Amino acid sequence: MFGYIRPVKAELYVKDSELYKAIYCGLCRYGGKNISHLTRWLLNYDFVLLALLRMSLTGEKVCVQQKRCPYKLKKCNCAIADESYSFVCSAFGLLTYGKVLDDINDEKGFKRFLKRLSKPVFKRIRKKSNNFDGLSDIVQRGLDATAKAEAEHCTSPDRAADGFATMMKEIASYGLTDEKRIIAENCGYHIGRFIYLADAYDDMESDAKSGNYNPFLLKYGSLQNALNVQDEIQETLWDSLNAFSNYYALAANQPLNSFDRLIFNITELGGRDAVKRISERKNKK
Amino acid sequence: MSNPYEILGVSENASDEEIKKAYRKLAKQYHPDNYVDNPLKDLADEKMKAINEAYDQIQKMRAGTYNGNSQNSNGGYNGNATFARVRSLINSRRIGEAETILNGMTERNAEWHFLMGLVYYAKGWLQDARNEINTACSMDPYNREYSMWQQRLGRGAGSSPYAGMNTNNAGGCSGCDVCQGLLCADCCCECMGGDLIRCC
Repeated sequence: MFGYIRPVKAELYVKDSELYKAIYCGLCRYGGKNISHLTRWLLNYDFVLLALLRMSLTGEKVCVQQKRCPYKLKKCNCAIADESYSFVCSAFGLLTYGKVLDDINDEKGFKRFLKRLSKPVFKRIRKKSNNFDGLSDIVQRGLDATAKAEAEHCTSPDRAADGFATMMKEIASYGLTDEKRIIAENCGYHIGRFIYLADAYDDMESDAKSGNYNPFLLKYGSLQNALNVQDEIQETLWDSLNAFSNYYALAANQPLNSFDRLIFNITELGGRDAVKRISERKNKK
Repeated sequence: MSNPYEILGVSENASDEEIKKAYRKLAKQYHPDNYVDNPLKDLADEKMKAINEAYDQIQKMRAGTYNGNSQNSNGGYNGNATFARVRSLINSRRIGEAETILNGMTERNAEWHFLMGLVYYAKGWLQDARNEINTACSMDPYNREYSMWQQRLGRGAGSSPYAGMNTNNAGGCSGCDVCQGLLCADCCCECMGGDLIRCC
């Protein structure tokens, strides 16, 4: 989870923008209180989207209250939705622990030593996060499948992203039934695919330098070739965003409510904006 | 119809692989995309049609000869029946089974690539799906179903209810629009004998 997808505020209604802030604050507050203060620093926009998706699909009643924030030193609007937050924070804790273990295996030298030192902290986060049956297996399976595809030097970006995307699919649809489950599965899959491939697209240069695995570098042969077909890469990223919107549209209310508008804004405009930011960074270099 | 082998430019003893190679080469050469806005488009279309018919005819002839023949590696494998089964599996969302059957097939014609594209699409592997369906379209450019899917995958924008809500400058007015408006108003006033902006 890398925090690529955030809303384009200029295109939001003020009330939706305020709701987004309240949901972010609520998630941060819940994580800090129930999991660990570290989550307040590590949470990112991707988890807010997951929380939004969950609130929208489960129909949980969300209320906004004024709460004091220890970091902003003032009272701010905070959404209260314990059910969705506890699930998203658990998924966050398990994923973060899995990521730290992965890093300990992958990295070398001083960084590895630092990560090893911090392992007990993350272990505690994991322990506090393990509140949902089967969730830790879902995360483990997803991280294992991703590591396997990377170890096999798989040349298809779709195949490489499949492990992570399937994990997101199972997380997003956890506990849902019937058509809501199908919608959540597809939305989760495509958001996972987007996050994985956007990260791979962003890291092409650094991976080429360090020799790390990158599906786009393997598919197109070299960094230069991959940079020459950026349109194709961007197109496949947009494909995922479009697929997400098309599936989510099946669950959206008519007329759209604040959650629907926020989710569409994040995926349709925010996602494209993220792709644009990445490509601009590449062109600058 | 004249000898289909002559149309493809291969001998009657040519192997399946050679025939496929010759067909692909000609199909690429006369592909309608190469003749957009070209006066020879009709001619190329006719040629493409003849090539497709010839290839189909050879396939049918050979399938008949091979029926029950040991040369058939899949043991009485009948392409159409297998494809029909794969289609019904895809329709009933049994994607894993469909993929296993397709992977087990040795003959990879346009239909194979198309169905593989559908399998990838159902799995959410959108880049691979696009590649497979593009391959199917280039092998059989006259198939309506293939080109319909190609368009569907290439269409890009989603059909969400939010799509219409956000367009740049929707109902707004930029600084440039204001200047343009003022200049126009000034010109109109000058035509009528007045003046709106004194300096120009």
